[in-house]
Amino acid sequence: MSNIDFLALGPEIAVTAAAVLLLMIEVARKPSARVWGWIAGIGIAAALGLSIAGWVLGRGTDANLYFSDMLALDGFSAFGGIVVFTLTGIGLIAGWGLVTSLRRRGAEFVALVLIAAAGMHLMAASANLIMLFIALEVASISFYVLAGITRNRAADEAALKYFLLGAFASAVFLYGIALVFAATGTLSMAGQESFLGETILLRPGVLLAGIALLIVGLGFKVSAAPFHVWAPDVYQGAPSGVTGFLAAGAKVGGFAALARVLTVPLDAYLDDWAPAVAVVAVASVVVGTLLAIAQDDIKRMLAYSSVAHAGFILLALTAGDAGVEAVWFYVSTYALQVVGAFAVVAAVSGPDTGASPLDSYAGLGKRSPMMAAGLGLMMIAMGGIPMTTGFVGKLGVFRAAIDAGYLWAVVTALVATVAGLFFYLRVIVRMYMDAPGGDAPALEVGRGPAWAVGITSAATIVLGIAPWPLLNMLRDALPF
Amino acid sequence: MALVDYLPIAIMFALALVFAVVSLLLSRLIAPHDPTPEKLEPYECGIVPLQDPVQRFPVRFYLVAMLFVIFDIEIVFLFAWAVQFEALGWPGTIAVGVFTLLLVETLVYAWRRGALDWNIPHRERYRRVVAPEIEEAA
Amino acid sequence: METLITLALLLPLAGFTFLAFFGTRLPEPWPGVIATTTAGLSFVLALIAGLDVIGGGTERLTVTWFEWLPALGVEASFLYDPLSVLMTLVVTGVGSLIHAYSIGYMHGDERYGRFFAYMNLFLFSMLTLVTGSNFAVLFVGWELVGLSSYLLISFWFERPTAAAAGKKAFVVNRIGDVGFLVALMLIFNTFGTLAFDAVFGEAPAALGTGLATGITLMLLLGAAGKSAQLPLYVWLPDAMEGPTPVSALIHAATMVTAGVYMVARTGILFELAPVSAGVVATVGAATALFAATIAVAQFDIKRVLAYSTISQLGYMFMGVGAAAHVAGVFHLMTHAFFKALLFLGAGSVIHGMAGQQDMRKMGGLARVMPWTFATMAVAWLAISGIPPFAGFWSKDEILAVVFGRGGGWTVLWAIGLFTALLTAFYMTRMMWMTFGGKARWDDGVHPHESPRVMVVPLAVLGVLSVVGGLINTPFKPTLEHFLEPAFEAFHVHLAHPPEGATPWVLAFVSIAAGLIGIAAATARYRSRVPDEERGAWKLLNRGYYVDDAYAAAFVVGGGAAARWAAASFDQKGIDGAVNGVARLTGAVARRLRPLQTGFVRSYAVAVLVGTVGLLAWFMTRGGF
Repeated sequence: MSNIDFLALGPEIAVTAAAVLLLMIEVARKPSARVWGWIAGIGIAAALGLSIAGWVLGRGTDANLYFSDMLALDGFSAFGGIVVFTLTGIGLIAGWGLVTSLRRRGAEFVALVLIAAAGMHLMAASANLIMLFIALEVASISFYVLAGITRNRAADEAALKYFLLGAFASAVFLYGIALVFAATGTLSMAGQESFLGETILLRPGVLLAGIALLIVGLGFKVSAAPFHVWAPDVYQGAPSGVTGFLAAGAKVGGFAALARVLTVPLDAYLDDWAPAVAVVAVASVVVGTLLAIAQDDIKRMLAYSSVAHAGFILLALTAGDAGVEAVWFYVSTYALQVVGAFAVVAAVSGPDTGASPLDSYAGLGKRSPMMAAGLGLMMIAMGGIPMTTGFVGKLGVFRAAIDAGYLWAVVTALVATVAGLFFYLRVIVRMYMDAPGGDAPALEVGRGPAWAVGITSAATIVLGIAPWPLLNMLRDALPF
Repeated sequence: MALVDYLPIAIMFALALVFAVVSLLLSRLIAPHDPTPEKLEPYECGIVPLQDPVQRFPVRFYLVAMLFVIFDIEIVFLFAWAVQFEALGWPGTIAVGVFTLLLVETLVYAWRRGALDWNIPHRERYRRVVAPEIEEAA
Repeated sequence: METLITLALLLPLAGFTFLAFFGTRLPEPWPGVIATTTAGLSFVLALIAGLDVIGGGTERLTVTWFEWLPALGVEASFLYDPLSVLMTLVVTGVGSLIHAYSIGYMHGDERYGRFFAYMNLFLFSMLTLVTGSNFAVLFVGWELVGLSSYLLISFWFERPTAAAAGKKAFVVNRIGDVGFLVALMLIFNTFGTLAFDAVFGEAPAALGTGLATGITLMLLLGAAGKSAQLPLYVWLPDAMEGPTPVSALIHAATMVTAGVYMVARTGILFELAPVSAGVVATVGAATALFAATIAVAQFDIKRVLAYSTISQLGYMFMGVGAAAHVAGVFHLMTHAFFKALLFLGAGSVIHGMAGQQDMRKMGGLARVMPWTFATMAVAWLAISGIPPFAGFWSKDEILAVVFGRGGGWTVLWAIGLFTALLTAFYMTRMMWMTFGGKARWDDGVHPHESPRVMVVPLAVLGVLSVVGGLINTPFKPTLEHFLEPAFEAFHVHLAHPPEGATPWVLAFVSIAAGLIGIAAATARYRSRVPDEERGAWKLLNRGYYVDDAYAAAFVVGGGAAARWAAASFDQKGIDGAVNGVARLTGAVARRLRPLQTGFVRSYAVAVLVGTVGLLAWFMTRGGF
């Protein structure tokens, strides 16, 4: 019954083993950063390979449960693994400058990224609320430390804020788990699903309160309004080399968990939670868009924009099962856009600094055509302009929400999309139409950010023009 | 589970509450009340306190405390495994072994990085490894 | 056949791609030559395809490239029917001429290569727009022309006014696009597809009047943004900050007519929503009159033409609103000829006057710029509605159809007629101030005729402005026969002019209106430039201060709202609350501050408030 199968944990074992090995070699031999890179690369590649294998074997089938129903292996978790580990790889490449600038502590950085990846994937694969909580904490605590890894004032502040508020949200989430347990008598999602499917609760108050708190806890992780307050400070304060990974990782892990929790065990209560999700979604879209307009720092702007994007993704969840495909498409392509955009930020402002004022992007088109084109593309994609993944993603999300009957939410989101173009295009205007201040020389771009920007740009365009491979893959992967 | 099943817990809770309130009240009522300045001082092993107890102390205490808590919690997990030892069999043993090794590895890393070096300014490792980084960060 | 038209679409894209990469490295005039060649070839290919359609070989052809969004059943496919072929011919034809003209006009510009790259991008976008066979492709083209228009308006972005104008165009078009997008979603929601064939085929059966009205009003909002109709016209006059060929191609001949094309294309939807059709015609008539009155008092030669364009677009809206789609598209075509000619002529004048655009500083140019004068005179007669020039036939057909519908439409006809008089008046005023009278040039300005590469396109357009109208006269309605199948295929019932003697009477009335306008303006401006800078003239000159009102209401207001939101949520609200609490709690707070920043606590408060709100909502769903 317990069904212990270590192969089911393969991706986690691969990255964790890489992290452990890396730290041990580090204290024993003090190798060069290149060695860390090899170890991490092999670990991530192995995890990615195992996830792909999991997808090939597990797509379209019902979940296989392991470790006493703690872990679910299905297309959902396998696709999550593919996204998470791809993201981790690109994130590490984009932020490699930060690793070298941290000197010997770079090993800790790489190890933390690997452990965070394990946590993120576990969030997609958890089939038990306690397991989900542990996965969430593994990823979150790694994130807190990563945000403060440079140990300067701004990073310290970011890390501390992230940690304190994150702890608060975790507590709320845990309380939500307790209430759901109180209402259903089990922590296993499968158990809850069958219980709620067969039983009509006469007094669903405890369960509903639990759902509310679960939404709050995960809403915090994905920075949905009004639980987004940490995002701008953390984005701005965290070193640029890792912000993209933090931002994208939190979204991917958070939405994986949210999608599974809301559509598997709580599916029967769709009519109760969907309106609340719609309200949170619209609030996020509106707040994120409005506040992003007024930002002068690109990282704060991207933070508020990520709040708006969280809202867009939440919109798809109002459709329940039917929206999961749109959620995955949006969140995976958005994650690539974010990592690409922050790779440019890291190249412009340096991977170990926090703030990145918009003014420093003036004339980037001349200083570094490739970086400017990359950032420009990401802005266009985030703005949802056709021929990019951003457009396809928004289309799917809106369609899901319309099918679910939330036309008012979609119309609001549409208006916000249009308003959002202002601040995305403002960046482009800055880069191409303003002269660089003073005598700004051509920008030296390392190979890491260049590769990261190249890969994410290619993915954004190719999947924007021809999204069907990914869409078909998702349709295969999700058993719904 | 019916509400009745929670009754023992409720009784336990009530008893604890009653015990605390009663003992506090009793001592208040019975004990003589004759304060002197010395009596009002915080009790510190019978020695007169030299300074305000609220003050800063090295952050290193926290590190040691955290390492302690980690191994403390390890026991909690080991206990659960020990109870189900037969049922979990070899896979369980392997899992717990890996878990313990992970914690040991953490300790080794922290140790090698100088976290357990108490009197750091006099230690050679501090000069070689930690100090340059602190300067760098400052 | 399919290869030909696919090539016609892809050539400008190839030109754009090539020029985007290598345009800056090529010496003058090669980028211009390359861009003009792709545009010209594209025209030739479209013409071959068009002749085939005219010859009856293929009436309709759909070319599908690939499945674009299989989940939505959307394909990247293109429809070639008479309407889109005609639009393609106008776009590539006028486009090639303007490309050629630009070779001379942009001479010596710092970003010569980039200009032609953008121009080719625009051509490709516009062709996508007019040939798309479903709403999704149409929308892609719609956005792409917006983008290239934005790039070209602020082409000289060193000028703050140009940058601001680009932004304004962008913002205003966004407002329209919201309407368009909402319409698309409604359509998709109703029909489950975006393909023209399916939507228009099912519409008569599946679409209720209410929903049809909603969809079409949203479409109208989009069209009004793109085609500069009331109340979204404000961006077009400012768009004249772009280089003059851009004004000619994008902001007179082609892009701004996209709204007209869209209404004609979706004609069946408007037919199902008579209210919307009436709104379209009313908006058109109101815009025509409104913009014409403003044009009367402009001094900048390009602004006269800009307001004139808005006014003429109003005519087209009136036509398509009255279900006279053929007449509307016909006017679109003739207008493309004579308005492009007017703009290019104006560009030639500005070129010769070393950048001077103020007509009060011109005068007497007929002698030094004979070719420019002669060609512009043709366009002047065409737009004033004097037969047999092109504008007369198309404008008259619109007015005749509108009159023929009777009832309230007669009011619209009267407005149109009065606008015709105003049109003749302000065009004559412009001609006199520019070419007639005495020279009022600034010192050091030596006007000269433009080089041949600029004059030849003028001459070609001049010929087209003379004979272009003859393809659709009441005596021989060739264009109508050509276009009708396109509308029949989509179940549109075209409105026709009244039978019998009425059209003759109407024609004479409108010719008379044109002549009165010309005569009045000649009397007023023949010998002098009257002082027109006070009173009602000033009101008209400033365009009724609509811009200022918009600026006050939307731009300032919107910016303030965003700033206010940022300030109050981001700082004042949360920080302020914290600071207040901090002050209240005095000493305690001061001791705690080093330990715990106010920010985190206030953030936590925000999270808490959200949590409580969410909990409260869930609690209303079910009691304990």
